Amino acid sequence: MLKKLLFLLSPLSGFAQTQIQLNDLNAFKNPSINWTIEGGVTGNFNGNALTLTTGKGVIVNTLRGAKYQATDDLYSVMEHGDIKMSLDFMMPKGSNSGLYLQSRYEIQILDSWLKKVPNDGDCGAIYHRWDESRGKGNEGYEGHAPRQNAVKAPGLWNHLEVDFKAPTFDASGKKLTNARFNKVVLNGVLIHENIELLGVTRGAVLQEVAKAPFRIQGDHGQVAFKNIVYEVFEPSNVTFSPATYEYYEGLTNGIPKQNTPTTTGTIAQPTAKLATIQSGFLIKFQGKFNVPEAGNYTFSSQWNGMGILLIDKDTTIKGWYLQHEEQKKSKQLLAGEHTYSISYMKDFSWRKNGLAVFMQKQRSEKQAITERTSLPDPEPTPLVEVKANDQPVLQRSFMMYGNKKKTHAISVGMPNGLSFSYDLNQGGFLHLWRGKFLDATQMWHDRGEPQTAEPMGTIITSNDKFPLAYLASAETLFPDSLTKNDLKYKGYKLEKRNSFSGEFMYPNFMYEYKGLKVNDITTPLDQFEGVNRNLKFEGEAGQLYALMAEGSDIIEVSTNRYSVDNQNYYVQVFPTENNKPIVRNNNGKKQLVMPLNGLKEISYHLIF
Amino acid sequence: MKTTKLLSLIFIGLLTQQTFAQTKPRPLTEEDFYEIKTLPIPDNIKLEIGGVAPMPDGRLGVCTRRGEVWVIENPYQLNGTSPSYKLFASGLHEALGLAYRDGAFYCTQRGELTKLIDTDADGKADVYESVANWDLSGNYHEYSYGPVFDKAGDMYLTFNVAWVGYGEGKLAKWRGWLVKIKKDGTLEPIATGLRSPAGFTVNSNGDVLYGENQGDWVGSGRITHLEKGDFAGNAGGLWWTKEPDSPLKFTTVKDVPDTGEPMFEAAKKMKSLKLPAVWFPHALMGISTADMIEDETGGKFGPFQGQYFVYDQGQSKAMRMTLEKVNGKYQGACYPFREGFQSGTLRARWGNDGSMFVGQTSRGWGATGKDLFGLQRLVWNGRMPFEMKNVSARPDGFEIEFTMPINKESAENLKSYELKSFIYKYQHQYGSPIINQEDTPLRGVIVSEDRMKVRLVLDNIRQGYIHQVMASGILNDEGQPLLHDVSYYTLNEIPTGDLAKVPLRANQPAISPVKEIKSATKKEKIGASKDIIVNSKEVAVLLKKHACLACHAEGSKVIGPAYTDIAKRNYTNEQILALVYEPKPENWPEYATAMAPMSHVPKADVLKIAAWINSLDKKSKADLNKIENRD
Repeated sequence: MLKKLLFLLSPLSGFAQTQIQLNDLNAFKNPSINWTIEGGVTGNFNGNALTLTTGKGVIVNTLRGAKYQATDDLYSVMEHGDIKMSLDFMMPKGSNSGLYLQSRYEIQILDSWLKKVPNDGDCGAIYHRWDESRGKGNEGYEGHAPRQNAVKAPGLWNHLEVDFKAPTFDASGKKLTNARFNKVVLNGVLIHENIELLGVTRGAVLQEVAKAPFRIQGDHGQVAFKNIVYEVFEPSNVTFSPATYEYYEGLTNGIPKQNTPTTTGTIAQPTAKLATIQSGFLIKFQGKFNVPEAGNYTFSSQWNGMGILLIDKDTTIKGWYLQHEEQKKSKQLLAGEHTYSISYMKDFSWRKNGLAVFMQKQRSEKQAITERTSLPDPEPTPLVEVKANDQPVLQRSFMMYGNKKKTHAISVGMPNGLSFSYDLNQGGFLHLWRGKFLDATQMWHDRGEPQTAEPMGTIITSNDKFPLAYLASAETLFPDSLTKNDLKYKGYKLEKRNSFSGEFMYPNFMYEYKGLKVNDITTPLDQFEGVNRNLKFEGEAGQLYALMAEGSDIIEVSTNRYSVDNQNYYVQVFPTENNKPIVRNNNGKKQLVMPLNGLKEISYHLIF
Repeated sequence: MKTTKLLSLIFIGLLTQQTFAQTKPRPLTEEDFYEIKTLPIPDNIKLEIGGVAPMPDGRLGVCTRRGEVWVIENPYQLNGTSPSYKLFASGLHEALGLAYRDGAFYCTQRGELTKLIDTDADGKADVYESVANWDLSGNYHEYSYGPVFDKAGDMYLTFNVAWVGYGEGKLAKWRGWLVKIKKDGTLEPIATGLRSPAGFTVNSNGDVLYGENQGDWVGSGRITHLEKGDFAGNAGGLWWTKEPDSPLKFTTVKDVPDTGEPMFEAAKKMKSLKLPAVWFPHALMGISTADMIEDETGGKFGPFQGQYFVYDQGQSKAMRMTLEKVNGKYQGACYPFREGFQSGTLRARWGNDGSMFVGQTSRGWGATGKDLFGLQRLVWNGRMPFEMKNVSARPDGFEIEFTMPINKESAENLKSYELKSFIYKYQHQYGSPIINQEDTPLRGVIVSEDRMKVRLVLDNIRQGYIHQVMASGILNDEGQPLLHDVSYYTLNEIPTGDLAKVPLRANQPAISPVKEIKSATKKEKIGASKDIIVNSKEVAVLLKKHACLACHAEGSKVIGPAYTDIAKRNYTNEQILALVYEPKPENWPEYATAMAPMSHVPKADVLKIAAWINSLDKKSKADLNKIENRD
């Protein structure tokens, strides 16, 4: 699911993205003293402030000025209408900010970590609107809670992706269409799709406009941003005049039996709906469109049957296709009037009538030449969801890990929305996540050719390695994977653990590693801030080391607590007198390892 | 004398059909003898059954493709009571086999044989022990089946090859193999050449029999006796003969005679190639061989003790199989048995009372039974069906044993029988047409003293071929015909022994109905196919005769597309003919099962069928250039 979403939001090839260079504050209008450029920030899940390191690349609101001054809000120099935007943000505990598209439509940024049922004021929400005339207690309205709470712990980076459609207006300034969030994705979780906004959200100027800067709230709490990337789209102003049509029923070898059409007429937009039968008809449409601006235009088609698109009498797309077979062709058009002709012929009834033709100017939205309902919707695939329960739920499947397909994966959904997936062959975590449990559609719909299941929440990706290894010294490389001779998977037991509100059955995975008997059990922490992994081992522990984290970087944020892999998650370790953690290099990555000599078990926490 | 009598009977029938119909006994159906009892399934359970394991205490374990194991209490629904379902285990990966032994369940997941133990006696498994696990590449077609215990307590499993446009075994170790998992968890490879071995059994002799699905290297469904070192025909698994523990010497696909000649010819050139004990002719019997089970009920299930019941997932039905050993090797015959199950019949196991539990699923695999999944029980009601109990080979033909005495006159009339033989190609391509079909004219019949057996003496007994033994004209003492009038005997070996003494009847040109088929294959004078006059009644007969209706129906999707949908494709009659002889499954991507080439069906018959199909939805062909509009 994650991959699919990223793909959907990724820009079309040939369309340039802009990254705001955070070497200075030049991209913003008169930033207040709250805002500075820094090299990096770190935080802690229980820390009320971010810690700064000097340098470039991150913009930080340190809140050094007084609170609640609207002048602290940050406005971009650029102004936008339709936009796709992505960025990373980080907050300390309890903080509050917000990203306002066009300075008016807010995606809430708030530390609502661990909140089970988010509302329209929590992180990722499309904030509510505000009207005092509605009476006390009822001022807030038309807010949108995220589909699920996808925010990560304070002090970790969150990734937000927004696809926004600006409102449109006629020449007199009258609003034609509302603003809309096409998609909002937080930490890989789709939290809104096609939400229309009837007006501005709370705390914005009321007047809606076609273009405006984006705005970041800067007066409520500390917040940091990086990797601000966007792509703007201009409205496409091609206008179409009504089309004439000729409709023929009854064909011989694709040619109308009668020379005279069954019906003729004029229609606002070409549509396959003119055909009253499923098979044996031909419709010819002819129309004109006006291009206000010369440039490169891409025509695309989707139809079931035979179609021919002529632009200015030039055959642009032609052929027998089914609707999933989209065809594209680009043309240079001069400003001014142009003609099109669409012939659509269908002589079979095993697919529905469908005809769609679009044109798209570079950096603009597609414009439909045909009527919206002219193309039938594709067959929807129903979601097959495995839901977490009041007891841990386990499910084996294939699972993608990067571009590798893990064939012996198991996912464990624990009460209160913490889940992890685990490679039974290697005894290593694949992903840990918070939120909904598992999407099994690709396994259980039809025959399930991919046979994969996908996490449905905010995921962090782990290192998929068995966490124990015999190493000659603290500098020896940790093995990437183990053979079946070295590591034998023996199965798992469901074991009772008393925690928070009762007794729960958690899987205890059993292995034999080079003669060492290992039990590996993961349980949620009491406040659900993450998980506790406990490894017990029976046998020779002299040269044994535990690998507790691996990533591009490992930063100690407080005693025995580390943030890992670009501040993606925390690891909390519990050293003893003789067993201390070591941060080291291993094949270009950082690792947090600990010698286990003299121990019989080890526990550590993963918090996210 | 007898001929006169029969002829007059026929004449009466023809002249006064009404009178005849009144005197004719009510035709009996499968339902009159074997009843299907449906177990109700709670609304919220997707019981897509992959495995069935009856328990000695009268409960029933089933595992599902969604990875659950349910224990069903009261599955026999005694005195009209209802079953009760309890979730015993969950989270497994497409569990396609289940066995119960010594208080634990053994379940085969895609990549692991798992022992499920309930240590705290709360009715739920709390230990999921990995008895053995094996590699997978991640291809969906790498299904794993079993376990089936042998007497020593070791377990057999079978592993599908991957599907990458052809069956490929090398993507993960031992795909395409039958393996034995010993009690200590070690894996011993036994035999290869398996393609899609969804059903197999260890019979009362301790021999492994497995069912194969038509596909690449497999001309038709079949059952093969697998012994250590055998190669059953699909080349996908040969890759692993390179391993030191392979019981086959190193063999590659290049060593396989991929010539399109019959498999018994190929086997003469390749010693390890094992011939099937019984072919199940595609569409004439089934289309996707699933589970099989030996009748060890001691008569509780009817008169077929020692025989086998073989299920077909796609056609939602049970077939019957008899085996004998000729020259030390298994061979035998298959017969229709019971149709009409609710979904795809994948798994069958005996219940404690001599009835049979049938576990069913069709998601993504297609089946005649309309339900997505189901659980039914097949029960013999104690009445004796009139059946060919056993067809066995003789040096000069076959002997049919019946379940009850037969009418001697009907049995002695050679017109009561229809005999022919044919075989399939052995080739890497998917499926095969029927080839080398020939008449096997009947020289004479001998009815046994007790009228329980008929010896058929043939003029053209063909070693290696599948012999159709049809006995439509045989009646019992009540004047009823056989419940099923056909069987197919796979004659790998011809037994030695005394020849039957029947008078040589020279020149009986008209008696064999096979002749009719032959005359049909002769080039009839047919004009351009568009001139064929469609005779729906005649076509209905042809559709049934050539088993088209096994997969198609006029107006609805069954295994293959509806004839009305084919009509919409605007093929010419000749194109339909070409596609019947050489199907193109890529034309119908939304269908799970590829059509077998049906080139044994006479051209004239196909063209009649094609003309009828096209009459269902007359359409014209597109001409791209003529609709272009440059005005």
